[in-house]
Amino acid sequence: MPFEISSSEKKGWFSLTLFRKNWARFWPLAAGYGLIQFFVLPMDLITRADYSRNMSQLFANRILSATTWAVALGLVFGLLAAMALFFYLMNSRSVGMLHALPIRREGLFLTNWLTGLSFFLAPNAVAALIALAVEGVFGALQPALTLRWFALHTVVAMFFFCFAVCCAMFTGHILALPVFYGVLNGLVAGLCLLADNAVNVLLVGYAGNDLVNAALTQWCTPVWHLLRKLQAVYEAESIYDTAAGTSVAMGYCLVLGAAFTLVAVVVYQHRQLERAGDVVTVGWVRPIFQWGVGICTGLSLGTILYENFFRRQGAWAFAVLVALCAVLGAFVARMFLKKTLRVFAESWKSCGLVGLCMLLLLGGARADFFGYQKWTPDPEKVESVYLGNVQSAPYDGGWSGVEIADPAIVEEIVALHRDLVKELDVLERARWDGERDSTSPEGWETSTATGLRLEYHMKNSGFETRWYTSVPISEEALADPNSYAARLEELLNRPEVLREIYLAQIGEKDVAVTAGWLSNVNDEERGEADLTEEQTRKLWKAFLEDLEGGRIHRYLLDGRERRENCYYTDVDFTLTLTAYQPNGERESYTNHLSVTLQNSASAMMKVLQEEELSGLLRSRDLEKYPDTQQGY
Amino acid sequence: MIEVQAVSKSFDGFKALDGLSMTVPTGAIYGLVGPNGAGKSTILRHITGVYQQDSGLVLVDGQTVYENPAVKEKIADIPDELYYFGSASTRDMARFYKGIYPRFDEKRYETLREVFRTVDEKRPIRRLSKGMQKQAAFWLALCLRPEVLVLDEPVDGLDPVMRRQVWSLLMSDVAQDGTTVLVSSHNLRELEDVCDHVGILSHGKVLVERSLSDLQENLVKMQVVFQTRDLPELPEDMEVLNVQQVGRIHTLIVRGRADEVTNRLAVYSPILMDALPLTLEEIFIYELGGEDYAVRDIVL
Repeated sequence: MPFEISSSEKKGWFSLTLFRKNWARFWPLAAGYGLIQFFVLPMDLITRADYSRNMSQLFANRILSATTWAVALGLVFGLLAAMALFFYLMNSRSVGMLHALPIRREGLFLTNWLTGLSFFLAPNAVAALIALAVEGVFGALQPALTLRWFALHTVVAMFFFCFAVCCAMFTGHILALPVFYGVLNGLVAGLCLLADNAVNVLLVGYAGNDLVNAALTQWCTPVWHLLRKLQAVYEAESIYDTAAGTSVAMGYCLVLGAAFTLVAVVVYQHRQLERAGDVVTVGWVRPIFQWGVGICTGLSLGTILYENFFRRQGAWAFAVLVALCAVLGAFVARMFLKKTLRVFAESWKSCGLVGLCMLLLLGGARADFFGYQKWTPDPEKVESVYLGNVQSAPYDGGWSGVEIADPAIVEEIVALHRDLVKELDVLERARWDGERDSTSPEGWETSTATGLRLEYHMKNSGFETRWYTSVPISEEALADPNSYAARLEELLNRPEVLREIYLAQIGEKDVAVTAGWLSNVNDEERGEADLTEEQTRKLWKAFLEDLEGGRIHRYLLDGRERRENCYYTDVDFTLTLTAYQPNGERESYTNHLSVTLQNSASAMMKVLQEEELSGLLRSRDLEKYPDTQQGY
Repeated sequence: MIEVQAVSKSFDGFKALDGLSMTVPTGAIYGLVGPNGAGKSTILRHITGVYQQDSGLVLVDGQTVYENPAVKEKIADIPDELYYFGSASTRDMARFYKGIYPRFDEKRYETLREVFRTVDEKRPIRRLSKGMQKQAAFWLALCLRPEVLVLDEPVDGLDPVMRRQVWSLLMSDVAQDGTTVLVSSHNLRELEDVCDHVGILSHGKVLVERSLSDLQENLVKMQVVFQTRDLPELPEDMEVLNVQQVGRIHTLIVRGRADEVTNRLAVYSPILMDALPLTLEEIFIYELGGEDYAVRDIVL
């Protein structure tokens, strides 16, 4: 019996004996982690070693590649370590035994926490030392990168361990711990996704993932955030960038890990040990749990039921479904809290309240309590507006959205937006009508629906988005110059707008047309016809002239006019774009632009005629090509 | 000395302890008796510093126990439901306790090996039978040389010989070291043999707390045959807890000292009168009878 009692042990703040006992009991966990780490780094270096290549560079890449394992390993082993070391809190017998020992709660916590730290520190240190030895043997020492690998893996694993420990403090049931841990890891992103979907169903003009894509959402979802940061580290182009990226990821883990630990200690200090076995041990968290489960069940199950069975019943059906599912979720939560199925009598009021609140919330949103749907900006306050997601023909390279800062056009767009929100009921119906396209007996479109995304950048740095997924377009509407459809089409065909639509990718960059060809030509064998350098240059110049002259058209309806004006043949340009970095560095890359040939594009037609290429143009004549109309 | 002062504890609205007060003198063997759900285990977990009371005080030698390692070092406990680390043997646990408790007596561990010779000290405790586990628990607890020993249903599972041996060890510790023993049990006859103080718990309160001799002196069983067949009208201030009649013999349980009650009943000139001492079991039944608790159905 060789153990000596340390002075700190006497005071109950740390127990070396318990620390050793933890290692004696749970060493397979650390050993398993260490074994995986051995394969992740040293073994990987050994198997990838190749004298025919630059070993330093190769090893540096392999070490950087190995950093991405930190999240997956930390996520799993952090939880396992927390479950092993804090399992005693989930069982009334072990709680009694451990807490009757002359060790303070803080002492038990610190001892177990330090054991967890050592579970990751020791295997990572061993793996890093072996990796250094391997690097030394192959003459490609990377001490800084290896040290960073060691630090990153340890910190990330400790972060997840601290997170799991924090979860453990709120529950007294060992099976609830991994569930809480898993759910809380993705709770914010999941809730934002569900909320995005709910708002999308309830409000016309909201069709995005604004909440789930918000930086804060990502920040509050550790796995997502860390994976992105570490992926950026792996893909970084300079050692400096990898160091900075690693530091950011480690800083995130250290700060949040410390916060989780602090919360865990405070909760442990006040933990009612008699709650061992309960799903939730902290009194004030129990109603939060009930409401949280209710809300999450309502939004998730309600969405599933709505999308699969009740979609045609509209937004109110969604609100009612979510409320009912929320009640169900609250009852289930109550059953977990009370550890019995018989909870109806004592909890119908509180569970009903959850459903009622959800109904009021969603009903309020549906009734547009905050005026979201009817909102349009004051044009004076708009800096610029992005017009995008409009489905217009021809289906060539003119699909880009367009950023407009011209006050006059901005005013027109706002006016168009105002007219649009006056017809919310039309937009609402269009969302649920399903198949909206109709065609004439001759085969061209007579009505359809387009999307329309408006992003307002306000002068006060504000930002507002409205995204209408189904804006009805018909021949009749386009014939009326005052209709929003006709005004939208007219707007799209302004030369300044068209130029942005087709040439947005070029921006401020130098452009050189390096190759060109005609596709879908009137030659079934070839399909394509290459252009000479001269022909390409001439066609590009003519395209720009037609663009400036307003002779290129875009159509909201794939109707008769568009069929008569547009050819089936496109001209494809290969562009080399050159951008200059602020530091003077040149960056070049290649891109493509496809332009559907149009009769109205007189300059392009003239070039094709002069170059004797007109014969290759394939008409969209319905009688001539009845099988080739769909999809182009 | 253990002092519990007006301790209350609620679990989810259920009041497990309701202003419980009790005092265990130093060197006493204090038996805590009460029906299921009376709060016996709950108060023991407060005394061992596991639970924190909602209100009141739990003191050992004048110091609070909760989160006080200095006090907890003096306490050993054997809970109703034993727990030891997964595959830990008695020897492993002894090593563990040696590192935790500064008073752990290694020599005593060796000495007690002879007493608990049927326990395989190298075998994981969890694989031992219930009785063996209890023996291992006593072995380990006695090696801590505690000033306070808290036992919850301690001899359940032990055979009669081992029970006797264990109680003998405990009483020798009390005699030699002045160890204070607090023991809860349903086995009233056994407590009667070993305890010198008894506390009776019901509904989270201590109903009665006295030395065993006081307790036995305060309640008397009278067997009386009166002149008439029926029970005469007894004085209103005579606290009769129970009356039974078999033939002409009346058996009365009366609160009071035997000589006082005998004198008061003598005025009825009974044909036959005899004062009998009550067993602890009978005291338990009749004291709790006033608490509307159907003790008879359980104990008798």
